[in-house]
Amino acid sequence: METAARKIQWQVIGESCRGASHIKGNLPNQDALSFWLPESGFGPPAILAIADGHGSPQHFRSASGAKLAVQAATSLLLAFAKMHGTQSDANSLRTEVAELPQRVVENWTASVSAHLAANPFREEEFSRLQDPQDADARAEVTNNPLVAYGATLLIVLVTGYYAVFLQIGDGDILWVDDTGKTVRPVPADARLIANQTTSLCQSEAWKDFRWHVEAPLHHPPALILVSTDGYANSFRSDDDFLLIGRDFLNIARTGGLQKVSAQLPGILHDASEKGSGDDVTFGIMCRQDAIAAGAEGVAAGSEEEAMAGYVSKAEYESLRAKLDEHLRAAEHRLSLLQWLLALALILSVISLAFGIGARYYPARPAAPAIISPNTGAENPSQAGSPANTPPQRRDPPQPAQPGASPKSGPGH
Amino acid sequence: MGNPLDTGINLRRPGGVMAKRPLHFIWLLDCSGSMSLNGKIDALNTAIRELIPHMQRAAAQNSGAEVLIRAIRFSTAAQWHIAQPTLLSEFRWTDLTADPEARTNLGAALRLVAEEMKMPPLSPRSLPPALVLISDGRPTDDFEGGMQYLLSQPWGKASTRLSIGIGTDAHQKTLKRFIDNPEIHVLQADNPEALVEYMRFVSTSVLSGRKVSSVVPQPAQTAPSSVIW
Repeated sequence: METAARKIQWQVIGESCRGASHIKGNLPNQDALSFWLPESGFGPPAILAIADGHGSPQHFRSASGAKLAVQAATSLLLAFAKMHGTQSDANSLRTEVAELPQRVVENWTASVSAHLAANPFREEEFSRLQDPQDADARAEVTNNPLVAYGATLLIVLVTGYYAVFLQIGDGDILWVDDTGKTVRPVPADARLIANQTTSLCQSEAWKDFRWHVEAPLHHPPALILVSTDGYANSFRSDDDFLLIGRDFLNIARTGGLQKVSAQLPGILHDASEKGSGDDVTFGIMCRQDAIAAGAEGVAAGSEEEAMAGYVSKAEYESLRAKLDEHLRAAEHRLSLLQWLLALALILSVISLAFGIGARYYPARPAAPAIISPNTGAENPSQAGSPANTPPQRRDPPQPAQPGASPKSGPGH
Repeated sequence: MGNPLDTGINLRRPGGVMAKRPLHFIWLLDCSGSMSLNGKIDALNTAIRELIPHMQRAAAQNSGAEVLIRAIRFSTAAQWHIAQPTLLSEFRWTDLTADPEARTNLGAALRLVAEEMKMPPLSPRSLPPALVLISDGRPTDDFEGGMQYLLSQPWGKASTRLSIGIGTDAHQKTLKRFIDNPEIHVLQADNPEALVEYMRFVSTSVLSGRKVSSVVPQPAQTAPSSVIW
């Protein structure tokens, strides 16, 4: 049966950000992201895969494991889409999809084995496993080299007829409808707390996959969001995290997907910095008509918040550089004015000492007070005050103008 | 000069409120009768006061965590000494006292802390909580029942548990059972200097996010101790 979903188009964008704590600890970004679209740049089919390599020392090749995982998943799901792309019978699809976890694990295992054969372990890779209490972890890698490559994996496939979601380990797949309502299509796994996760490297890992098939796809989501756990862990609560569905839909509707893509590095970097400190990898699968002009709005009040306040990391840094430049210029002007003021003061004091001021301005009532030795000695700063100098002829240095002060400098 | 961006730019992000991951650190402190002898309770109070700046420095290294401190005191009964999860920056220590007649009801303390290891009140995004037991004696109530109850809670099982024995009467088997991890050893403090050193070691190891080493640190040898427990 042909559905309305078959006529719509999908785009995919994504970004991976090295975590703040990884930068501090000199660790690489251990996440990976891969997506596939037809040459036109629009699905269906559309495939998105994200993986999170484990951080513990025994998983010292997890960055490679994550890359191999998204590559294996993308090619496998592409083959699946070619073979079953027009299938819309839910029961038949579920039977086929139920086989996918084992095939994903087998493909990943084969890729890892090939990688290991070409790149045998080096002794220095065990450098983080030197302490006596690391003996078990070291033995774990020796007995099962897949452990070194351990990673989670999240996969989404959308065709014109159905959507498939698969996941092993932590991370999030979110379904965002046209109103911005955001839910998780894949069932939760209560075991995933305290940095514990199921993994591709475990024995019989396919049994730990969770998956969901949406078929037929009568009401496709506006967005499908996929992220590693570093993103959700950057929010105070799950409710706070789920608001990203509404907000990304708003940004996409008001600025287009390209604007979202430009902002992603800054958004993810900021999340890691202010939140989990972990690597953050995030992909968006977007239904084209859901963000096109005239698309239905999302939750009341939220559209007006969109876009205006968002700046990308690149924009942020560019703006910051400009502001710093303004500040430096303002400081320079201020310094110059201070020197001129000091010079004027010195000249005024010298003038007063020689009685020049009294001769030039005998009619001014303030003049005798200025040249009084007592007054001048006790309060020399008054000598250069503007009240004692004809403004038309000798403008003394004026106090720094508001525009030159460091405080208001950025406004220029 | 202040950073102009502090007030100049409104950088908004998708989603709700962001926060670092909570790392709950809970002391379980023995205030039984024997702790009133040989200055043990005073040494414990002093050690915790001295620890605070070390803990703050260690927590600063753990950029993804927000450390929250609490403390339970146990003697004939168990009760919260600091019940509210408290930011390190706001952490102030009120001295404990030990009742000379009091018992060592550690099992009750474990049940008390176990209630906080449920989900909720702890969030799934928490980092594994750290529970640090300090005791100088043998439990006088159903310790094993309390231990089982603690381990039956999601975050109780996932917590990092460490223990320090004070003096030769500290019951090693109990302290080891509390840790429940053969990779981590009980630390044995036989004088006030060792107590300070071990408490600093366990707290800074946990707060900085490093793996807790089984290598026992040597107590500082700044001055010979006049007290041996």
